[in-house]
Amino acid sequence: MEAKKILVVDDDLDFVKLLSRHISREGYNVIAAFDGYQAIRLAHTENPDLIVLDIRLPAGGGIGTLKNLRNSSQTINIPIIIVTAYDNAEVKKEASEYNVEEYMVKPFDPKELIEKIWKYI
Amino acid sequence: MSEKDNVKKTTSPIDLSSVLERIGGDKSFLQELLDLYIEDFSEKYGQLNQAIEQKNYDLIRELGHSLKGSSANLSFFPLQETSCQIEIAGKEENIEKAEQALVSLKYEFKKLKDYLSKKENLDYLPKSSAENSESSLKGQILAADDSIDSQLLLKSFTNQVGIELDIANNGKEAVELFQRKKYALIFLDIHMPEMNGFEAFEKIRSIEKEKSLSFTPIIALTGASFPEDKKKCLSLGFNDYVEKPYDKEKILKIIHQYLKICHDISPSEDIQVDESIKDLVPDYLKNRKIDVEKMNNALRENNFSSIESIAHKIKGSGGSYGFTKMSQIAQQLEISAKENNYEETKNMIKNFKHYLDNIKYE
Repeated sequence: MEAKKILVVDDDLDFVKLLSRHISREGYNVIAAFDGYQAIRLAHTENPDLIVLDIRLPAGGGIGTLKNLRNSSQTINIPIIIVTAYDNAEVKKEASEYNVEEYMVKPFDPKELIEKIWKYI
Repeated sequence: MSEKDNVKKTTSPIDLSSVLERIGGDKSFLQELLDLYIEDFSEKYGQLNQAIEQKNYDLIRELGHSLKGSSANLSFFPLQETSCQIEIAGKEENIEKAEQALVSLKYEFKKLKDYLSKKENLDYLPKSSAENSESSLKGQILAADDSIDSQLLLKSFTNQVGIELDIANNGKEAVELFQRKKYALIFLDIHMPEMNGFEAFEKIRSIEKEKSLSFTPIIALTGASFPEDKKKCLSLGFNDYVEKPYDKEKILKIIHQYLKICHDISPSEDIQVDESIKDLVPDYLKNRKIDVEKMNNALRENNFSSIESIAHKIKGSGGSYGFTKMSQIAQQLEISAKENNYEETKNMIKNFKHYLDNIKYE
């Protein structure tokens, strides 16, 4: 069976490396995007099984990206886990309006992230 | 990592054990500080509600600033950030922003209170960490006061939290002690024989400038009947002042606030990097050193938004790589950059560099 594919979106290369390491160790294929537009494009061309998305992103912003993904019939049902350094109610509320599956705050616990991924794929 | 640690990490909105470790006190002292914080917060929240209703922007800003400081003291970062938003809303005279931040503040405060109200959430804390803290904090504070009563009182306060105080009887002795030893914090009484507090302050600052040392936080000890002293202290550049008669809570709050910074930058953090990502760490740390250069360049151009953005990223990635204190320093840096506070931002970049230069991990 082909490994499930996870799209990781964050403009911090060091953070993407870290996420990729933890996620790929669990047998998933990881693809990465570093801004909102790239994320939307890859979400359509690569059909990931799940997306790990940051909020503070160039070119589109995390919330803009989220909105776009939820408005497209091709990407509307992809589970999305937010991993962001924004730990305030306002941003959480905004993200929840787009039905994100999970909201995690950086610094994150890799074990917790993996357990959340298991819940959806 | 044990299973117990995992449970703690995933359910706690705050890391009380690291707060406890940082303040160097015992569990009852932490409990005392938490009670004080909750009481103070509730009172200020009520005032803030009124200030927003009355659109009293000066008061909104002032209360936001005060809540930000007290939340930072206990590392309640979400509350610190939200309080910062209140302060900014006051500055910008933006009532909508203030109202939104007030909602977040209420939510975060409730979350914290709910957590603290559950006894089992505090049970895992060690009853006393004074033994450990004593050795690491010993002699880090200097107090100059010519009154024996005051000396005893200050000693008693600091002994209760396991910190030993070096005492000087006047400004001249304080300067002599300062030349022999590095302190994390200095208390200077203003009215002293031989050399008064103002003269000692200027002497210490000139030594620091001459030797290119970072400025030691200096707190003035002033009499309530000398309002002009307080004004002079702040204009000279004292970090803060405490009015006599000494209030244990105030003194401990100040010690807590300044020793925190000292601890945050200390390289003594017990860093355990996950085996599976160890090979990523050298590059990660190298890139953070590049960040220091970038932030210094940005500071030269007063480009605070760029510093804020870099700090925000480090706040997220540092702890994720296992460097918890790095995230804490970055959080403070992000806030000072957000406030366009040049001096504080400069100091925090310096602290961050110091942390990186001394980092050790397994």
